[in-house]
Amino acid sequence: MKQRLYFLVALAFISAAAPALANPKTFATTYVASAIPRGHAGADAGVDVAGGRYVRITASGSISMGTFGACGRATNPDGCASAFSPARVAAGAPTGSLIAAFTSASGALITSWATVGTGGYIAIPSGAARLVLRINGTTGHEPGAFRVVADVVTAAAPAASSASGVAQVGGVRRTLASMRSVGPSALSRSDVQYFLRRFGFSDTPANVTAVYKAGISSWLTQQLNPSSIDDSALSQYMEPTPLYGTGPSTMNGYDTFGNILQRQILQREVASKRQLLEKVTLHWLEHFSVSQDKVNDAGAMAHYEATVRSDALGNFAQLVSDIAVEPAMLYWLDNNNNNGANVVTSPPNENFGRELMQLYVLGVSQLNPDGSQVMNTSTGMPNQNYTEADVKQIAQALTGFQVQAPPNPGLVNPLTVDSVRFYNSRHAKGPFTIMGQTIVDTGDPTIVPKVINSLVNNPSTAPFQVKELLERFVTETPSPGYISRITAVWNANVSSPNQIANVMQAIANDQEFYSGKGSMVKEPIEYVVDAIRELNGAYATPFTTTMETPYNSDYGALGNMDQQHWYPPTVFSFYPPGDKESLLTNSLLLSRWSNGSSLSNDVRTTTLCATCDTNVDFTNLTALTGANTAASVTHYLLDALVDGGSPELQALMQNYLANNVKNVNGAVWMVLTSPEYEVN
Amino acid sequence: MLFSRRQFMCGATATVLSMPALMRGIAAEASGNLTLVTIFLNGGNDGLNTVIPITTTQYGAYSSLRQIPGGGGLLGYTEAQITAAGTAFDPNYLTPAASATTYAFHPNMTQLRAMYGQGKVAVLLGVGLPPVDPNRTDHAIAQFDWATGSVNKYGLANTGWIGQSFDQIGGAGAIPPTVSVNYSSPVILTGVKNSPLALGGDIGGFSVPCGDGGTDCTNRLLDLSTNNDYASNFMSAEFARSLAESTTTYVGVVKGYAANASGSTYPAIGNSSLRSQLKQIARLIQAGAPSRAYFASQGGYDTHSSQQNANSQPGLLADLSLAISDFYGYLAANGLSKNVAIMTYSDFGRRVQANSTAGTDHGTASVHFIVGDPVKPGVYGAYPDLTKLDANGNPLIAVDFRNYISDMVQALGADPTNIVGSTYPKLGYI
Repeated sequence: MKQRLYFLVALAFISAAAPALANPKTFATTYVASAIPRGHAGADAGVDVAGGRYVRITASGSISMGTFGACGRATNPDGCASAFSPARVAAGAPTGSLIAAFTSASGALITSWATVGTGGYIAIPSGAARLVLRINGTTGHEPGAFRVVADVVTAAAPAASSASGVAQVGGVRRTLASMRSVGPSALSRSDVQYFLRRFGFSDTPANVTAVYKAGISSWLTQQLNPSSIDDSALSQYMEPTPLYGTGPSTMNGYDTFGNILQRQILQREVASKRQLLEKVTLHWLEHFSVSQDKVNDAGAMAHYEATVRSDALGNFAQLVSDIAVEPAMLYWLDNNNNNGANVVTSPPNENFGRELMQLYVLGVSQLNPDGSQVMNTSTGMPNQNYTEADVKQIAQALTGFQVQAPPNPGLVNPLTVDSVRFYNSRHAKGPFTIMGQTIVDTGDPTIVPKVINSLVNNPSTAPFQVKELLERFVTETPSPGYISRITAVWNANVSSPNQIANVMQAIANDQEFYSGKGSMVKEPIEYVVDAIRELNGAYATPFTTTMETPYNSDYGALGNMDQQHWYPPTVFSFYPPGDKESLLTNSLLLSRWSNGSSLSNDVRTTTLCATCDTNVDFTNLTALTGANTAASVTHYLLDALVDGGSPELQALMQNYLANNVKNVNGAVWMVLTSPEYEVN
Repeated sequence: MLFSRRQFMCGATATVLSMPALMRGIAAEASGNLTLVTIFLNGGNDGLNTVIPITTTQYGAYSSLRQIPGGGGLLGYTEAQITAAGTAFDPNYLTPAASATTYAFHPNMTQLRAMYGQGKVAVLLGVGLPPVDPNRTDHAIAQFDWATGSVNKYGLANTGWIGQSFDQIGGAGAIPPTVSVNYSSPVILTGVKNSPLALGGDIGGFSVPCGDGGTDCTNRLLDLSTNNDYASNFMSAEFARSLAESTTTYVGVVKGYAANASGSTYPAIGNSSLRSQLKQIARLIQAGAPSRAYFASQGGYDTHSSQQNANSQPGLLADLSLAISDFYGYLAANGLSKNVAIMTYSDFGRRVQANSTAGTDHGTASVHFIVGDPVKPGVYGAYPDLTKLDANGNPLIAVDFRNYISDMVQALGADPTNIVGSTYPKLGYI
């Protein structure tokens, strides 16, 4: 029989590497699972099974939708055991099952997740070090209320009549760290919220549950192909694009079309269903940052942003080639009218050429595929990618372009006003040698993709870009392994029209993706947009021209927090990659606190405001949160905004709302100013 | 990858003090008397037009190399313009402009010229990053080098030379010894023991709002930020929590200082960010704030094109000169200028030759100023020989930037050996 054969093999394996045991015949360990408050990631609960041959799980209780109990991980978790006897489970509460899988010492799964059949002994497979336990819930809200006892046995055959809960020999009571409720993708609801905050701008609790039930991969597959997502409703929640030279026709009508174009970016981030596209577009806008402060041409800025969006999930070399000849970029990095006709007496300026290499494509230092610098072994210093001579060559290669900006274009779409011309007479003559690569020059704009492709094919480009993607989307300390794996995907897709989409998919599917949980603070844009979406402010009311413009005050808030999309402070964008905390200083934190209230002020608990730019509809507390109580509102807000948050925050909010449950705006503000909310 | 503030605060250092103590600074009074105000000229200021050499050979090289291609004229100033501006000066600060034959401040820096004549300015010539740093013409690396007083440590260090100086000499107590007034928390002010207090805008506006219409919610926010168990699970939350705690701690203190010095007699700041920043610093000094190092910055110096536009370098230097003069004048009028010194620094200087877009590209040596009662007035360093440029068309530096910093570290009362890496001869400007 298969099992006996396995048993013989296991016996051989174990006797070959038998640990010294106090009692060489049998030993058993018992474990008790305790409940933990929601929102804490925690490690998987598990049982060490190395050295054992069989394990038996006995569990009582079930999962429930109970509120936070008095026990938490700060108190003695063993004290929770009695709290979860079956009598305490609310009648009619949804239940789930306990699932388990064996893993190796490194945490890799050896068997797949399966429902635990309690009572019988399970043979421990070869190489298994732990039996990991999870709660298979239906909505992800379940806090985990099983009482689990595990007996691990080394005897050749387990004693047939061992009573459940009693150690076979001198058991040790230990408390498991945590139990997580998981959905179909074996991810907890907390994992799903994390995912949606990183690969999008988060979502309402109801939508999070929907993704939790359907599984992350179906969400991701759709989002990687944005044209498959019907976004036609978006126009209802955005101001229309004004014609060049006109002001707006809104109630507050004082504004320039430039401000409207800027607000549209925020409106799109809030209300577009193509969330991954917007998030990746934001990454590229921050990476290839351009400031209206210098460009001073709103139509050019909006056109630039549209070009980035259309290439955001496409091919990187194509993206760079396209933005290199955008009017906004030509203005920003001084390549407009950069004249290479006589490079000795009239040298072209080096701004674009240098920053293209340093900031945009491959960086200063040569990089290995794992993101580490290539060191010169004799000098002990990192190898440089380019020399001053390379800077001069690339500056010359990119000469000859000029923005055509007609002064009086009439009432047209502002994005169509500017165009770009190439003058061969102002173009330096090639060939050019840049970082050892010779680039043939045919005296026309194809010089741009030729130069860009040469840069993109440099081996430092992939790790430079991948490291920054990981630092933006996952963790500010990506491991060399993570960088290497994604660099390989980047390189394999270097000619693919879906290169960036494929890279994002690989990032999300990597085993280290969830290691980034709780590791980063939110950028101001995330701080604002996430809150609006999580509280369902996105679709409160379709925009009409008699209203305040959507999210106008929130757009202003971004300015006070120092992150308006069109105004990165320097060529280094809003913050250096890997250092989001530089966005949080004393005064910027104060700005978040005071401007976060621009959203909390939009919370309506009596009637909706017909003319307000945002309505966060809390008029029916029972329908939304399950009851009309301080507890239910607190519970709902904490779930929506901070994945549970801390018991301390919960207590503060409940005490506050106990005075008047309709002061939801004050409670929202408490969450928005909490340390929990700063966590991405 | 740069160390984040979070890593530093969450125990990357060997000694982990409790967070409130870290944020409140070391209790002991700092030794030394000097209050340093650092002005960062962001983008790489063209030193050649900031102090123009007017001796024959040097001016000849300057005026020929600085011709804007295509007949655009001089990316600089003619002798007639310089004479008319009255900004010429000699190493002997008492020589009047009309008799000076060596250098000239930019024609728009008339206030600085006047202060020079009063013995309040030290001019440091030919200062810059050394060739041993291959990236000394790239913004990110150059700025980092200046902030840390080191070369080739980009991504490997997270404290700056001013912060390290205060690690040695101790902090202020009520608020940190180092304060930034432009919203940022710059590396230059960051030490192992202290993070700078980051103010932005009007120091009177440093307050804690409520979300429900209430006026002062310091206590509510303090409740939220102390004893937050969630934060111990996530480094990012812990960072936010301790920042929140320190911020709520300082709010009352800063508001007190703002109330003690309204600054109503400070000269008008217009829409100048730099003048606004220096005004805030002046108010803090006037109100008796114990902090000893302040940081302000002025942006826009990366003049790759149209450098001579009125609102480009000429406008920036006009603003800089006026801002410094207003700041000094206010303190002097209030008897507070005795121990306050300003120093400027920038990423790098710029190329001698003008480019085809009437600007200049990244360069090397530049000029910087130290201003105030404590300075020993005159000229230090040496103006680079404009006829002997390096292979990239840049002047050779005369003074290593670490030498510049070394003098100031000592003036603060600290030992420069472990900060700028070796012992430099004293320049003697302060």
